[in-house]
Parts: sequence; structure tokens; C-alpha cells
Amino acid sequence: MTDINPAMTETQIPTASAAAGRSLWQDAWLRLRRNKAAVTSAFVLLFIALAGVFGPWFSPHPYDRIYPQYVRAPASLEAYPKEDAIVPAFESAVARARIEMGETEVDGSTVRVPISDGEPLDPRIVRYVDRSDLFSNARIEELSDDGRSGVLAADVSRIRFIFGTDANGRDLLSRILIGIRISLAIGVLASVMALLLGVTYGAIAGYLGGRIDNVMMRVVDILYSLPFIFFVILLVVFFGRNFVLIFIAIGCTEWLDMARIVRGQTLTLKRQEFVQAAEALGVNNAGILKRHIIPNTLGPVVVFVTLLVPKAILLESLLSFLGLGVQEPLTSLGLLISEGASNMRGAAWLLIYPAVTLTAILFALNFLGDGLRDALDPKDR
Amino acid sequence: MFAYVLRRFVGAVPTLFIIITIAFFMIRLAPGGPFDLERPLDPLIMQNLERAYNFDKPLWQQYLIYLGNLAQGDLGPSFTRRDFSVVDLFRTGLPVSIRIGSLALSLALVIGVVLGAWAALRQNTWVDYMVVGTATFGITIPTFVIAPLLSLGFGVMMGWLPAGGWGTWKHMVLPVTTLALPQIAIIARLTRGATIEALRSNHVRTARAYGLPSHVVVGVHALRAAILPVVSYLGPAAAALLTGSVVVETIFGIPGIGRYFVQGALGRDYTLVMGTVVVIAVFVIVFNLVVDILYAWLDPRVRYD
Repeated sequence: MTDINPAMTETQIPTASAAAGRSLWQDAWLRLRRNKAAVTSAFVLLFIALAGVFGPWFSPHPYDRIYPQYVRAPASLEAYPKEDAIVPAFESAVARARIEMGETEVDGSTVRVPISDGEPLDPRIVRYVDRSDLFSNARIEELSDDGRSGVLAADVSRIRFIFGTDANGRDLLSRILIGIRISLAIGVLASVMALLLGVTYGAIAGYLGGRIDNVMMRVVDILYSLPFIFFVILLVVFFGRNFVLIFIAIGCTEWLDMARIVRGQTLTLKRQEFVQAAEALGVNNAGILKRHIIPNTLGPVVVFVTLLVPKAILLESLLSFLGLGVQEPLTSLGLLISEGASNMRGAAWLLIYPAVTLTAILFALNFLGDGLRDALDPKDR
Repeated sequence: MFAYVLRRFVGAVPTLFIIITIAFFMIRLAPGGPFDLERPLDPLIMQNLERAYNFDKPLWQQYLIYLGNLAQGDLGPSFTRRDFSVVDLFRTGLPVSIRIGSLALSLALVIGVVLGAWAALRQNTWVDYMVVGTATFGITIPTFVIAPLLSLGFGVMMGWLPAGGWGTWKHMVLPVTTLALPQIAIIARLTRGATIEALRSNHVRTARAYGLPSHVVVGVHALRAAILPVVSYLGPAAAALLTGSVVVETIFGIPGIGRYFVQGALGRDYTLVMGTVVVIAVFVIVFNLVVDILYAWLDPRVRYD
């Protein structure tokens, strides 16, 4: 804590004395690092965010690829197909070709069945097998001279569904990864939106003061008393369910608290000497706001934003849950939970994995937000 | 006091008016209408329908007509549920929502306050950590996660309770629990914080100095101060709980009014959406007033005149 390198201090701040104090941010950083829950949450969050951003590219299954043979396949670490499912699936695929079939045998990762027919075999029958999700590279081997009998062979394609598949036969892991991406993106974008609106509005109201402040804050009060969730729902219902609209709508509902916090901060800040000094130097209002007021309100604002992100994610998930969020085949965690809820009989994993993911994100964000609040604002414990 | 209540009601009128106005024009200016079907209606029928519901008049006239009807307590006919007026729908649905909501609210209030006070009295012991931990859990996990998980666990896997539906008391257990859990968590946290503060305050120290038994000190003097933040939280919370939760009603299949708003908005059922907005706004306003009156009664420092 006290091991400040004097050489570094000198080069950075030539005029400062050797005992340079720690800034608010350094202080906060030290306090945050000591908070185990917050640090763990930050790592969990980082991991989940990286999974959401890069995961879909590394996932073996595209999130919208449908495997008709694997509808509601349970979560399993073993590769599909299961051993006892290979033969029936193969036979039912070959049966569609309407030819005589012998005994099917499985040899490692290839399946073979002797086939024969009244007329020469059509090489196109391999397509019946290739069409199945379970097999690939189907071919006719040992074709007899008259072309009426041979052996139909195919490779078993091993696919892993670690989290199982959904009711349409899509890989749940890939869908959760894309869901994380969408949920986090909406959470962050909506918070940024609320941040920009709220900070600008609050800082202007607080700094200008007087009648303008009065009017601006009355507007906030009135908006506050409106049942905003309903207006978000109305907006989304009426103007289509698109990604941009959703986060704008959420951002527009969440900026009110921000405006109040920033205004309160600004009211105390604007009486301080450094602002008066700037005024005396002839800096204009916009300059003072940008250079002096807003940077100094950032502490509480940062705390508020970390608590805003889970709120926005929750609101988006709620909209998705109600069927008003992002549209298929794109998905979000709320939509996945909603689908899981309607499929929970017999396919509990569809509910459990997305629910656990969302809960983990919300927990991590809340702990991180609490940690930041403790770190940045030690009075408010 | 009476003058204060009256003034608050008069003061609420503009808010209500603004809410109604915004909601009305938002719904009406949205694309689509209640009579849009896959196959378009015969133009003549459409014309008659529009005339019957005044849709052929200019929007501002319809707005005035709506306000006039509203003033007489008429919320209009529902467009998606034929043969029902919006008032009928609320008459059957509202009691159901209020029943579940009030049960959840009482449960949350009792358990939350007890847990919170207990944690405060045993600050920094395992009791405290348990309560705070559980509360964090309850606040973080959203209803739409808890509800299906409870339904899955107790309804589908264990089979102890019906996973959904409405009828006997058994049907109410899971929805009430779902609604109460987050409220318990929030109330416990609020009570804990306020009780810790109250226990350090002068009036509690004085009560102790008088030699009052500790259950009186805590139960009467500390709790009375500690309950204040809970009361002010309860206003909006009660309004939200009693007007039904769309998530809980959807998952457990409960015939309350929580679903009306989303269904009405999707089906462009103008009157149903407006009715829901009005009912919820009135609930919010009334409960905020009740809270303020309770506040004055609980906290002798607060005076309204």
C-alpha cells in the first residue's frame, strides 16, 4: 500500500512532493481489490462475458441449426447418438428406400447393412441415410455384378450436446451463449443510454438551477409516477420487436434515477471553489459541465450503472419472457427461460441451464455493484 | 388530516389525467386495430363496426368520449373478449389477483420484518449472515425464474402441489410463495438496516435506561422506528402485488388481471389496455396516500396540515 516508487512519482508529477496522496480512484481500486465477493464476481462476469462474445464462434453448433433427430436430447457429456439408438435410426433411414435389408451391424463408428432389391440398386438411396443427423458419408460397398445387392455403409457422426437440445432440436449451449451475448449487449447498451440521458439532463438541471431546474425536475417527477413498464410494453408491442428499440425503450425508462443522482451531486459541486475558479477564468457553462462537474459526479454514477445493468437485463428478460423481446431464431436468456418453462415437463434442463446462467450474471453484477459502492462511497455503508 | 387527504386526491387527478392521456394516444396511434383479422373484414361490416365504436370520429372526440365514460365509471366494452365489458372482466379477475396479492403481502410483511429484526439483533452472527445471504438471493433471482422452478420442483417432480391452475387453497401455495419471496427478501433487508440504526438511537437508549424489558424495547420502540422504510416501500409494492403479476399468472394459469395488459396490448384491445392502466394507476395513487397517512401515524415527527 505504501510502496510508492519515488522515482515514478517524480517523473509523473514533477512538482508534487514525494508523499503524493492516492486519488479517489486509486483508493477505490485498493478497497475493491480487498473485497473478495466483488473480485470473484468480476472474474465470473468476465468469464461469462467472454463466453458470450467469443463462445458462439467456437461452438461446434450454430445457434440456429436444427437437428430434427435430436429434439429434446437430454444434456449429456457423452457424444450422441447413444449406442442403442444407432441401429434403429439407421434401419428406419434405410427403410425409407423400400429395399430388402439384412442384419445391421455396427463396427466402431461405421454401420453396415447388406441390401438387395428386385431391380438394380439406385445409388441415390444413400441420401436417405445422409439426410439423418446421425450418419454421414453413406456409400454402397461390395456392389454385386448385377447391381441388385450390396452393402450400405455409413459413418456415425458423433455430436456432443453438453447442455442438451431444445424443443426444436437446437443445441442449448450455443443458444445460451448467444443469449448471453444478446442479454449483456442490451443490458450494457440500455445502461449507456440511461447514463448519457440521465447525466446530461441531471447535470444541466443542477448546474443551471433556478426556474429551469424546477421545471426540469417536475418533468422527471411526473415521468416517475407513470407506470413505465407498461409504456415499454406498449412501445415494443406497437413498433415491432427489434433489438434497437428494446434497449432504447429500456434506457428511456431507467434514466430518471440517474438524472436525480447527478443533479444532487451537481448542486453540491457547483458551489465549490474549483468551479468558481473556472467561472472566474471565463470558462463557459458547457465547458464547466464537461470539464469539472460531470467528471466529479462519476463515482456515484459508476456505482449506479453497475446496478442498472442487471436491472436492464432483467427488464429485457421479462419482455422476452412475455414474448415481446428479441425474435427467433435469435434468443436471449429471458426467452430461453420462457421456452424452458413451457417445456419443463420431461425436459427440465431446458429451464435449469438458462436460469442458472441468468442468475449467475445477476448475482455477479449485484455483488460487483455493492463492492463498487463500498469502494467508492465509504460513507454509504 | 381530512383536508390533507382531500388535497392529495385532488393533487392526484393531474397525474392520473396525464397517464390516461399518454396511454390513450399511444395505443390509438399504434399501427393495427382490434378488428384486424387474417382475412380482412367486409368493408361494410368494418364501417358499421367503426361507427358502433365511434372509430369514425376524429381522435380527439373519441378521447373526450372516453374521458366522459370514464368519469361515469364505464370502461367500455372489451374488443377481444366479446360480450364482456372491461368492468366485467375486472369484476371477475380483480378479486383473484387481490386474494393472491394480499396473501403474499401479509406473508412477506410478517416473515420479512421478523427475519430482518432477528438479523439486526444478532448482527454479525450466523443468523445475520444467513438472513442477508438469503435476502440477496431472493432479490437477485427474478420471479420468472423462481416461478417455473417452483412449479417444476414441487408440482412436476415431487407432485405435492398442483403445478398450475386455480381452485383450491393448494393452487395458491406456489403463486403466493413466488410473489412473496422477493418481497420477503427486500423487507428483511430494509428492516435489518433500519433496526440496526434504531437500536443505536436515543429513544431506544432512553427506553433501556428506564429499565423496560428488552422485548418492549425492541418490539415497541425500536421496531416502530424500524418499520418506517418498510412502510414507504410497501406503497408501490402493494399496488403492484394486488394488481396481479403477469409472470405468475401466466406460469401458474391463474385467472387474474395481471395478464390483461399484455394480452390487451397484443390484441389491440384499446379499452382493456386503458382499463388496466387506469386501475393500476388508481391503486398506486391510493396506496401511496395510505402509506403517507400511516407514516404520519407511525412517526410523530411527520405532520401533515
